[in-house]
Amino acid sequence: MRRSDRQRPRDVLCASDAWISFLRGYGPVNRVGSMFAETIRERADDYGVEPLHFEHPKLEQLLEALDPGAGRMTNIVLTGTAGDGKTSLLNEVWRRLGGDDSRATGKNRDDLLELEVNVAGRPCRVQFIFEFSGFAPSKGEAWPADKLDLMERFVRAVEEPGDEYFIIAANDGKLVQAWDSVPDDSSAKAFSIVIEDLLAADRQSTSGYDLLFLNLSRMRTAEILGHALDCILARREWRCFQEEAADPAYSEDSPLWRNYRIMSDPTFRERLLALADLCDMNGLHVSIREILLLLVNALLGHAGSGEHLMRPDDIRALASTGRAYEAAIYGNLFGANLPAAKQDQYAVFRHLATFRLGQETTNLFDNLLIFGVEDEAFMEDHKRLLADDPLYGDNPHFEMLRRGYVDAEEDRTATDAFVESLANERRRLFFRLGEGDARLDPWRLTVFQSADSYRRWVLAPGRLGRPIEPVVIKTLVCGLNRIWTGMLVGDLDRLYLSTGLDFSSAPISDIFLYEVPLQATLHGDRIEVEFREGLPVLKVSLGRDGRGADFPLHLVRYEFLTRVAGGALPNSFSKECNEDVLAFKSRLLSEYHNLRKEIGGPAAQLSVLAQEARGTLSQKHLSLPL
Amino acid sequence: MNFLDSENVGALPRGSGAFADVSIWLEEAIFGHRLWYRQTPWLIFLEFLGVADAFARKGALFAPTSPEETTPYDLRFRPTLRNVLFNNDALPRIAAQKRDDPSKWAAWTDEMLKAGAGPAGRLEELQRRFARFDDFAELVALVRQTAIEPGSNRRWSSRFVFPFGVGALFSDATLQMRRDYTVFGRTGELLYLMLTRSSQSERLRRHFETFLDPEQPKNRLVALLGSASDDTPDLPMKGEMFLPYRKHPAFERLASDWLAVLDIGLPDQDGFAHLVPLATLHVMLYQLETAAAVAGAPRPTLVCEMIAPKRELVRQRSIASYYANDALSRQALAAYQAVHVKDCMPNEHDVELEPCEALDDARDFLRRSFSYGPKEEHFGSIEELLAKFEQTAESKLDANCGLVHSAFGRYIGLISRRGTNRNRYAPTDALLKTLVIARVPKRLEFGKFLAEMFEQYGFVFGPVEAKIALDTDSFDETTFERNKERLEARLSSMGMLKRLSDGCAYVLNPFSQATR
Repeated sequence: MRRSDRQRPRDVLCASDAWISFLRGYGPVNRVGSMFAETIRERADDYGVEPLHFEHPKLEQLLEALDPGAGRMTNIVLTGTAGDGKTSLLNEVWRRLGGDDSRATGKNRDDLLELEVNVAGRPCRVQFIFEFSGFAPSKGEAWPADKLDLMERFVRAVEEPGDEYFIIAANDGKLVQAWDSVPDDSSAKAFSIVIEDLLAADRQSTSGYDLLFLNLSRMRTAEILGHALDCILARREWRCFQEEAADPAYSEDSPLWRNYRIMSDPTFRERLLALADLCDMNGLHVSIREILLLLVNALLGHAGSGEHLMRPDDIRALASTGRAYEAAIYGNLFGANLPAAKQDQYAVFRHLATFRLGQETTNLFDNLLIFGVEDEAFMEDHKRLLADDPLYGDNPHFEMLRRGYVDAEEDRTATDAFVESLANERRRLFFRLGEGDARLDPWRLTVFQSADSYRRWVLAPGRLGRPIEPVVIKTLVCGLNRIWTGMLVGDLDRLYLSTGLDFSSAPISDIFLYEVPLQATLHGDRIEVEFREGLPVLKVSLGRDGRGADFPLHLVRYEFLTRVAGGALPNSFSKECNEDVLAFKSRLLSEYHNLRKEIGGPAAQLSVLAQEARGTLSQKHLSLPL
Repeated sequence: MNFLDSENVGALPRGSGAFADVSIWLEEAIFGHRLWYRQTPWLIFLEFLGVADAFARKGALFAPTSPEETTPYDLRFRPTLRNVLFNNDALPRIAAQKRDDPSKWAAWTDEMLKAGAGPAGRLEELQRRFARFDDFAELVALVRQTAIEPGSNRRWSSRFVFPFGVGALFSDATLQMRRDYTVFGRTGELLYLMLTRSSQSERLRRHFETFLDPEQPKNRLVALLGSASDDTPDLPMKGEMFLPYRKHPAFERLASDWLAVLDIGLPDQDGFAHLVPLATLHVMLYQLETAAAVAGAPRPTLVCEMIAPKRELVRQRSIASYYANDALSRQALAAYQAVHVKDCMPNEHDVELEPCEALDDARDFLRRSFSYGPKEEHFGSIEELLAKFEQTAESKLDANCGLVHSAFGRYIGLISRRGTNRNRYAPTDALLKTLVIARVPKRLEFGKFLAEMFEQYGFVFGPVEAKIALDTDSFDETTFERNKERLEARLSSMGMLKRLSDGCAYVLNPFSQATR
């Protein structure tokens, strides 16, 4: 069928329905190639809707580096996860450097294009490789001579800038694999080490090379989410809520309207951004495409609709039968509308699942949710936090299951349904709780119970360039002392370096080696939290030359150390973190031994650590040399 | 070069006591003297250290060795140290008493003399070294905590401490401090020989010289608990160790793994935690690879299952791979006999010989070449003799050499029965960590890591390697893809893998400073 022959959605749907249908394509639906840069223009035309668009967070940095008029030009490699916007970004750069509109319209989808650019009076050629994966030979195949030549020219351009430049978008896995397959006798081969180093060490450039290496997987998820929220919420198509309020789909009974209202709410937004920020702080990245997918699923998700995502008629049906709660945003945000296998396909849902929001709880919160309606002790909080919610406070389905549970009906299937429904209520509560009330700390509904203190006492001051409170470091040191010595010590004023007689990682490490006081010493020993590229790092320095070892303080590690200091070993992530903390010990001990060797001097006395009452450590000095 | 080429294979001089001591010299000719399936990884390592120390004293640490030379060496019993550590039950009681130090020392010396730990002069030596009796008691307790395999219910003279240095190395012994072989079964000797025949022996020597330096701090500490006479090399070993191959790829792999661990420069002896399982792994792989070559089969591959929550096809592949490998030593034995026994036997139908002369010649041949002298006097024919020979060889294999693969694999956490009643390869977290430390210098792209696991050990985790290792009927892409994903998840949960994006992940060595 020729394109002009078929009936297009814009011809059969009203404008608002076309908008919703178009938006739905950004969600977790099986439509091959639906929202890729290459095809989006076509779809947008079919629906008569402009695609979702916001300025790519990295565009400014790119244009800064590429300003031919001002004589600025460099080689660029863009890598990242699928959906990070590599191709759109390159299309935009192509246009800004004077390329025609064939890229933006999707007419030209070549992997490789050349552009003549005038760099401050000097004519230069710029080679655009829009999709390196398509350009490079498949795994196991040899490089054709012309492409190999181009790669050798690329390496030359990077090593000795001339009148040819390269701008390349590449999946990083493909980049590594393709460079491996470059023949050994090629002049491009040696560059594979540089690529690996840039990738693995998270660097944007390396000295001696004219190259800007941008890994889009290092973009902050929170930043993308902020842009995406603004972009979706500001669309003029939402006027449908005013102009078509008589249509149930866009009325106040509509789950879409309610979800949209919640998404526009500043408290909700702030909490959602905090979740994204904490994903970043755990080293978890979500691509632009999946952020849009998340938001569209949040608005339109509904387990009972086709592909678990509402079409306009599904919205109408729910709105007219008073079942808006079935499509509430709170469950949708975590993919609860999707089957487990489908959730698992998307990094965004996998990453959000690490918070275990909906599964984690406290007695207080569950009492509030389950008994709050009747129990006077909880009634006031219940009304304020849950019942007074004008949008989803009234949920007859949950109320029925709750009654069944409270009346202890022995129906297994009802129990499962209740647990599922309760999870979504916990999520609703999470987004409605305020900040700063320790009793009702929303982060207690996640596995990261220390998230509030992490945000308040580590991230907030760190981002303002202020020092971290000593009490925070003291807690972390308590956790380290407990794991490193294997003894249940309390809050001490120093970090102990100890070892077992056999292994330094012995479960009980009671041979004392060294101590680093929390108060910086005159020798230069110190324990501090630094910020490096936005991430807090616990740094233990031995001596004045900054020798020592670092421990990046991801949220999960902070949580682990805080919980160990608090006396509990969390099962869910203890193994990974325990290994990490022991490897940190090993690195610090290696530095200690190196320094000791350099300093020389008489052997230290053997001293054995023992735990005393109230969690202090005593040292028993044996008059024996160690 | 094929390691089975005749110029690469040496034979034990027939005058060696080792030859006379065995009931039949066959598996020893193939694998060496000897692999002992009951020797656990730590005991293999301790035996190895003892041998290394003995050669170091001769100034020949990791010096080249050859199959034909059976060099004698001397070990130590260190009776005082062992009595103090393991035959010293009275110590905590005496230390807890409220009396002055001289009377504590006196009481303790009494007890020790009663237990046969004399003479008194050696105990007095100890007394002079410690300012306080409590310091002594505390140090004994500390060192005892490091006992190797403390759970095992052994007599005190077969218990060992962590190898802090030369001062902590001693041989197995009877309660009367006489030679005994039950714990050290010579696999540690083989390990030593393998390393001397790798091209990296010189670099290894430098690492172990440091370890064997008596001035190492922890060694000085443990030496306080022995007497001066402990240092006497009082246990002569006649030199009955034998490894047939001058060169072998397994020796090179072993040496490169050990050097990788040693080069990281972990504190003190932390690296031993990885050298120990790696040594056992490579000895096991040496046996498999040698057996396969003798049997005319390709280098073995080991399909490893990353344990899945539910039953996966890869488990079947792993079980099949295990049982195929487990049969190799038996196949090797049969193939070896076909070439070196049957074809070389004096011919019964030789017209020049009387039948009984031929039988005598055959007996003589088996005695000379294989140290085989059956108790039975009468054999009706050469066939009968040969059948008995084969039967003896097989029972011997079933009682030891044929068990090495499964036993060593279990010791190091490679072979498991978890979730089934059949053995298969399913590496534990601890073993995976050791493999990463040995094969990942700083970081390695995940696909290359899998290729490296295949190249170095024959381990199959992912589809690329499975496709090479398995025939098309047994290969299923998605099964191995999932297996690979589970390995990735495990490494990631142990903090040893960093995913950069959907297309790229790196395996990280947790001890390399540069990775964090």
